[in-house]
Amino acid sequence: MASLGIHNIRKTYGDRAKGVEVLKGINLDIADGEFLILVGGSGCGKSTLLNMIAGLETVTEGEITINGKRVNELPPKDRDIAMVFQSYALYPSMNVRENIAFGLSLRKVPKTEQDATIARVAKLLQIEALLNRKPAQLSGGQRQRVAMGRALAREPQIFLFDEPLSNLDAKLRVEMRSEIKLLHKRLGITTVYVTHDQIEAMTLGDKIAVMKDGVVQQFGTPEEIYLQPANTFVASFMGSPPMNLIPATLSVEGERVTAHVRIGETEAHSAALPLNVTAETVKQNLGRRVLLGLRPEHMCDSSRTTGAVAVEVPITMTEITGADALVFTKLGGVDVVCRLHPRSVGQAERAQVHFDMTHAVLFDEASGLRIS
Amino acid sequence: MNAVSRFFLYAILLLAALYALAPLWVMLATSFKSLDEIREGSLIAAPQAPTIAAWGKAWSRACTGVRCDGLQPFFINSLLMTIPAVLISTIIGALNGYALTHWKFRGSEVLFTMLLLGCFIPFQVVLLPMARTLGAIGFVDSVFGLIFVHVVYGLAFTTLFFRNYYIGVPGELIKAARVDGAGFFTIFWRILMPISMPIFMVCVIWQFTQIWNDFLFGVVFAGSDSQPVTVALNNLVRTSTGVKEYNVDMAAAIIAALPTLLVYIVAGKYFVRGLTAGAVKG
Repeated sequence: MASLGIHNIRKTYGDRAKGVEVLKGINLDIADGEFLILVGGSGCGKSTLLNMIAGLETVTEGEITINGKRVNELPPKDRDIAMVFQSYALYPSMNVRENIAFGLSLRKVPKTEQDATIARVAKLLQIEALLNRKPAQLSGGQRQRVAMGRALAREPQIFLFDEPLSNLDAKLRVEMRSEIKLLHKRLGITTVYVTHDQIEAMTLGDKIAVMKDGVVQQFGTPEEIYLQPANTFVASFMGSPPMNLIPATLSVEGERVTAHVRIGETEAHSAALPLNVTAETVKQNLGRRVLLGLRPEHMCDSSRTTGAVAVEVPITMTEITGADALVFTKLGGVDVVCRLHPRSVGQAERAQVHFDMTHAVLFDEASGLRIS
Repeated sequence: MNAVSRFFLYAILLLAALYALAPLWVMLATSFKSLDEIREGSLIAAPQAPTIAAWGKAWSRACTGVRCDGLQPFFINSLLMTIPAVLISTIIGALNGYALTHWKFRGSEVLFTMLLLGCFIPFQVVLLPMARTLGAIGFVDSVFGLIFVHVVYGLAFTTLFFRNYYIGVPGELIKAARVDGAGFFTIFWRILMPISMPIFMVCVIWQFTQIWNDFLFGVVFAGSDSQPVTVALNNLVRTSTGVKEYNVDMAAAIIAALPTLLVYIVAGKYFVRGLTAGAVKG
């Protein structure tokens, strides 16, 4: 059981002055038992950060603490962590039992205790039947389980996962995802989980840190990240399809702020959408273009929302996913996706879309930062 | 492929095989003949009255210079030199390859490149400096000196072999073991060694052949009591007391070549497999 602190972490490869800086001052704090997700595209530094927490990479600058105690100088084995890797990294010459026992025997755990632990972990992960097999004789999902079993057996203070599901097929990935969530709920071990998959991030995390180019773009709960993205990168990275970012202009009448959005290709049509913000907050942006952020599910049909602003838009394309119809249209000159009920779109060329403006967020067009 | 070109293909292959095997046949046949039969019969004819007298003489009675107890003592010298040299150079090479791939440090690439250069230095270049070195450390005229020289020379190759093999081993495996609490040698011993059999075989075959067959270092650095079998074979063939005993010469040559042949037969299947394993897995 442990809290984890990451304070002003920097990582530079090569010369400190001229080298490549891959982490540029990371600050994250999670409490005991929390599930932290590090999410971002490839090359954003998320795996490097995880390796630094594990002690597999040195820290150039800053401090990592476990339970308030600085661990920068501790080797991996003394940090009381366990790690699950993307390739599972099972020892090929050992069978499943030996794989799980390896870390225990290195820590001089008595043989009887080892056996008890292996039995407990095997039961928990339902790999009892596999204990005498070699990794090469296991399927991808089974290897994944064994890798988790090996980590669990150690009863670590902190669990580290490095994209553990990205080598599995889609169905298995969903299964293992819920299994990891259940496991965390049951054991309550502090966890850091690296992924590039925003659905994994949303479903698993207590806290999410969205990273890009070695900088944390936003650190918060999944809800905050989803509904109140700090900038346009977070807005378009999280969610599938991502948040629509529609160029708009603002006008103020008294205390009422309205966003004006051009409909379709022509300048002539424009929709006036009332916003939930005060004139004070947007006074810097009046007369300048802003980006209106709206999630596809907040641009829907009348059956799914009430009290929204209805606008008729031209349809450029429709994708039926089964539960939804994703309707593509053009607003403010950019492609926009609306999530409608399949029944409400037929062969029509135009659709009534209801804008749920309570969930709208505004971004500065130049800086990409949220206006609040 | 049509029949004509297939015929030519096989004809050429057969010719090449004959060309390679004919000397071996002559050697074998001659070694089992008596001197009289050699004088009278044809070179390639099979022995009429096979005898192993020549083999016995080559092994224990033939003269190599002034000494007349056959190849036996020198054969043992060769074993005493080759086995430790092969084992030491292979183990150090394995550790080098492991460190150069999974425990990279500042300058490890430069070090590896410099080690590689060792593969291209001809033996003759180092004869004099090496003689001085052996003199300085007191290994002159002894089997230890030869072991030392062969280990130093072999390291470039064994390091290259193991480095190329271990670079195919995923880094996450090493990381997982480190998190599990294993150190440098534990990881090498418990994780890497069990999967290194093919490359060990390649290394052992390569080193054994190189060291066993070496003549130059043997003739330069060995004392009269520590000469390897290659040097003794040369002396045996060049020492004649009146008549030239071709059958003894041939038997001696085969005896000197037997161990490398044996190593190939025992471990040969690993050779090709090991050489390609690293490349395919990477």
